[in-house]
Amino acid sequence: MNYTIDANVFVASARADEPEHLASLDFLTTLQALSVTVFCPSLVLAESSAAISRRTGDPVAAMALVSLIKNFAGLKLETVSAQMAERAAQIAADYRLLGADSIYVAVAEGVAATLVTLDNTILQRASNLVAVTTPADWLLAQQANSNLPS
Amino acid sequence: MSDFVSLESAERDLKGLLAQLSLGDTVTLADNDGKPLALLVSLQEVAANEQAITDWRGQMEDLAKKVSAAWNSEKSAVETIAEMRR
Repeated sequence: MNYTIDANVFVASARADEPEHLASLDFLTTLQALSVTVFCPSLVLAESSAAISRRTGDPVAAMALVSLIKNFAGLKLETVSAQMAERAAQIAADYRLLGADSIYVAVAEGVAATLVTLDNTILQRASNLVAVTTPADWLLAQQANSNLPS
Repeated sequence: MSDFVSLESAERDLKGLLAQLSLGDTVTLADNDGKPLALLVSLQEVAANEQAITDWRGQMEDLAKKVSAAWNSEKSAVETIAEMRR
């Protein structure tokens, strides 16, 4: 199974006071133990770094997060090709998504991945196109599956 | 790792070379002049080992405390990302 992870999940896991911190951290930890491939647009690195540096003024912390993302087991960074950019543009137009949001959706669609995000607009608008969930809901689904009788 | 590996070096330690690759990774095998000869594609699914995952989580938890202490906004990190995308 393939996954695409929004930068907001990584930054939520990198700030202890974040409302979705624990669910994001648990999700990221659990996912690494599975044999899955995580396809993220290379944009995820700059977005995560920018969010941390902007609110803390600490470039070392920002790059520490980048390093942790790069070391995430099973991660493949996807460069945005002209073809993918065109698909993202179409998605942005059809689903009224923001530019960066549509890139994540296009990456997920291209590899039939489940998109994991904390962005309510993506959750609402992209669900007709790709499987989309939050870290907390994903963890609940995993728990429910593990409770099923074998 | 490098995308190009000499055929000689691959022959010497093919197992070692494969161990460095995860699912979907590719390496071009080249002759001594750097001319591409073949493409090696890894088909092995690799789950991170338990210790590596524990270490990763520990590092993220340490970072999260540091980031929280230095956070200078009422906006959350998720809101910050949303704001940057507008």
